[in-house]
Amino acid sequence: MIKGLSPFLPRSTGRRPIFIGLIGTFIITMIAHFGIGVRTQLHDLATANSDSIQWNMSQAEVEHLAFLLATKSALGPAEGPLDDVRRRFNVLYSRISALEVGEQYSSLRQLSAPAASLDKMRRFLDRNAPLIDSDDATLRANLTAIVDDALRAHAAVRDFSLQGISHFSDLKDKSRREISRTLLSIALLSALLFLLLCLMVVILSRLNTTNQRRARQMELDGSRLSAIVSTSLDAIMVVSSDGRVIEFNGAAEEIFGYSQADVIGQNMADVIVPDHLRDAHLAGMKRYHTDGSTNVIGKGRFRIDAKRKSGDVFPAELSIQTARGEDGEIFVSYIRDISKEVAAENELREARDRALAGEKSKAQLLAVMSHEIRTPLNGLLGTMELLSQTDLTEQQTKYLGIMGKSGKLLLSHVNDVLDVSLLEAGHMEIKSSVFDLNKLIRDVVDSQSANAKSNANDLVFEGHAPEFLVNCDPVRVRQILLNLVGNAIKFTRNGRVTIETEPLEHSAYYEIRVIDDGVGIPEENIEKIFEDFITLDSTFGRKSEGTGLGLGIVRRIVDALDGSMGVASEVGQGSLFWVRLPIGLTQEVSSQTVEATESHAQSSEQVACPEVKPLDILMVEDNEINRVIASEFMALDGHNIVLAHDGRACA
Amino acid sequence: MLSTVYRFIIQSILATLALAGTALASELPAPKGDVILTVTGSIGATNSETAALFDLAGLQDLGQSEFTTSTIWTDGENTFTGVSLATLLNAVGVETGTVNATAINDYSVTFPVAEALADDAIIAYEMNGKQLSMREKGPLWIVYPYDDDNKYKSETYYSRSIWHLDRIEITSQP
Repeated sequence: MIKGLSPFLPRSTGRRPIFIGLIGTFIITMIAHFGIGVRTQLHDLATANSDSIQWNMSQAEVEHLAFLLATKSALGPAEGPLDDVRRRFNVLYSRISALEVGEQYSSLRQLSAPAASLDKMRRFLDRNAPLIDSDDATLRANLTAIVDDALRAHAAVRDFSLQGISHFSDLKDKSRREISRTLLSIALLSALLFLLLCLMVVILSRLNTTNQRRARQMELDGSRLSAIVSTSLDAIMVVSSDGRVIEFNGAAEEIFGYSQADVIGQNMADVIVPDHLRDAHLAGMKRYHTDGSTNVIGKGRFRIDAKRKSGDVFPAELSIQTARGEDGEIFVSYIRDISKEVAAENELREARDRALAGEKSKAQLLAVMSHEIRTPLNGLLGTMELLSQTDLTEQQTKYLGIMGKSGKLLLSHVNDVLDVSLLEAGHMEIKSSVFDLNKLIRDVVDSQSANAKSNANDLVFEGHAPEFLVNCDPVRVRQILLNLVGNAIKFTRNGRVTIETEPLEHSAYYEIRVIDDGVGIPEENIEKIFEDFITLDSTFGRKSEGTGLGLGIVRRIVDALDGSMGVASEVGQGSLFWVRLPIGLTQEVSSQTVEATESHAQSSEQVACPEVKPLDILMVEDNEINRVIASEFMALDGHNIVLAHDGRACA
Repeated sequence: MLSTVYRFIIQSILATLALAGTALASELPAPKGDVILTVTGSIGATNSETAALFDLAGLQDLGQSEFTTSTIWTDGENTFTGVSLATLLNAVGVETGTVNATAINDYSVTFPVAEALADDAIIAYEMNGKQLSMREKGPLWIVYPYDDDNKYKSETYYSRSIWHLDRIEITSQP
């Protein structure tokens, strides 16, 4: 992420230096231009194209006057030497020639007035040169004329020199102005360039500050990242695209047993991939490089086997993601050693399996035991029934009554246990049929009224309609009701137990409620009451008999019928148990079916004993006690019994 | 380059001659024609009581030098012929001091002997093969090869380019 620093730089900052660079180039070009001008001017100054012009010009006048003086002195009474006259003339001649030819006077010579003066001088020289060159006598004879002529020419020499002064001082001024203008321009441009440089310095220093801050940030990020990597509890391994290990953190060292130096630069396949996965790993890498398809990269966590330095293979949780490295793609892997978790998981699973198996064998044991207990119990009860019909004393009858009552209670408890174990073992059979729920409830009320009276309770059914047809297992529904009503009666004294039914609106369920105003259930025990072998109440504990299996059975039946149940209770106010069961049919149902079912229900419910004439009966029963008891009962009714142990014995 | 070597050889020979000349002052030949240059002052060789006098032939005998250059006083390029200033100074046995050159018109200029020995100046007596007349800045004119070296294109050297030269005085003060 540190990589992305530059994109946030505003664009203008990038353009500004270019802009300034252009201006700078322009200014430097201008300075170079003026610099060349200055150089030319300096060159001109370095190579003087003239000697002292003023001196030369004034010297012309001096030499003219010197010639005049020499001529006059030759003219005087002393008759001075003529050599001096000739020499002075020649000197003057040379001077004037230099003024005529010399390069430095060319600009002056182009002006009309100086040109005229110079022309006068030239004519003066040309006029007198033949006289100067002639013999002494001729020269001496003409000296006066020469003096006059020289006096006249003097003005021209003077004029020329004065004109020269004014002309050359103008030129000098002009060149001085030019130089000063150029220097000024250079100074201005230099100042501008200096300002630009200052600006560049400011910009560069700001860029530098930004870069330094960025570098610092990157350093911080880097150190933070390396701290994260080094302190990670998971192994972190970074691998280059050709499979070589680039990064191997402390946790990885601990998990795999290699030191960092051992593995950096090694091929990952040789280091941590177990032998049996190596081919698959190499194939996967190859596939990824050819078409980029992958089963593992970026697919979140998955389990895989990994290998330690010792060669141990252990289960690991792995997640791989790709990132961009310096030399192309890199793979970042997080690896967690989950051998402990897997071991714990396996232990847990085994414990669960063991528990389930134990549970199952317990249920089976219970079922078998219940059956084995019930059979002799039935023998006892049957025999007691037979015994009661014999001639007994009053005391014997009383004892027998106690025995019978105890025996029946024991049988009901055994039945409960059998039910639970059957339900638990998954053997409960559901036989659905259409029946009138209201009628069934009324039957229950009838059968339990006496029971209710014994605790001075009223048992009431508040049905909403004369008939309420449902498609369900009537036997199980009856069982549910009997248990709930029995419970309610058990925990209520001088109270009222109410049964309500109600089809639930907008759903295919109906609700049965059993409400009492008895002792109620403390809130902390609400959850417990549906568990097996629970008998909560200590106050009534002694008085209320039971295995504590009742609600446990109800819960199992309700589950088996795809229903739900619950309870609302308040201590001292009473309890409300509700059961919701699927109705299992539409309201329109043929009365025929109902009648058929009802008659069946009736036959199963009421054990009618119609009068029959004595019959010859073959009875086959493998249990000897049962056989004896049954044959005794039938013999009491006057039938003739033939007993058989099994079918083969019959033959 | 070659001329430098020649000049060095000539100077060496002349220096030897000049040393000899100190002892034998009379060996500097006396002028036969009109004297056009008089060298006075602290000189090692003379041909009169206090001075070394040269006529044209005397100067020509010292050896000719020649170059072509433009000047600010003449039109176009001209070829100047004369005796090298260094040769002349050697001939009169001068090694140090100051040259004080004066013209017929009393123009005068001074410069160090060392520079005169080192520079390429000649005392010209001919321009374009024709003897310089007095009306053409003759008879002698110190000329530098201005076109060869920019240092000669300066007012210092222009001022040393003395024409109508007829006297040189050597003073021992530097």
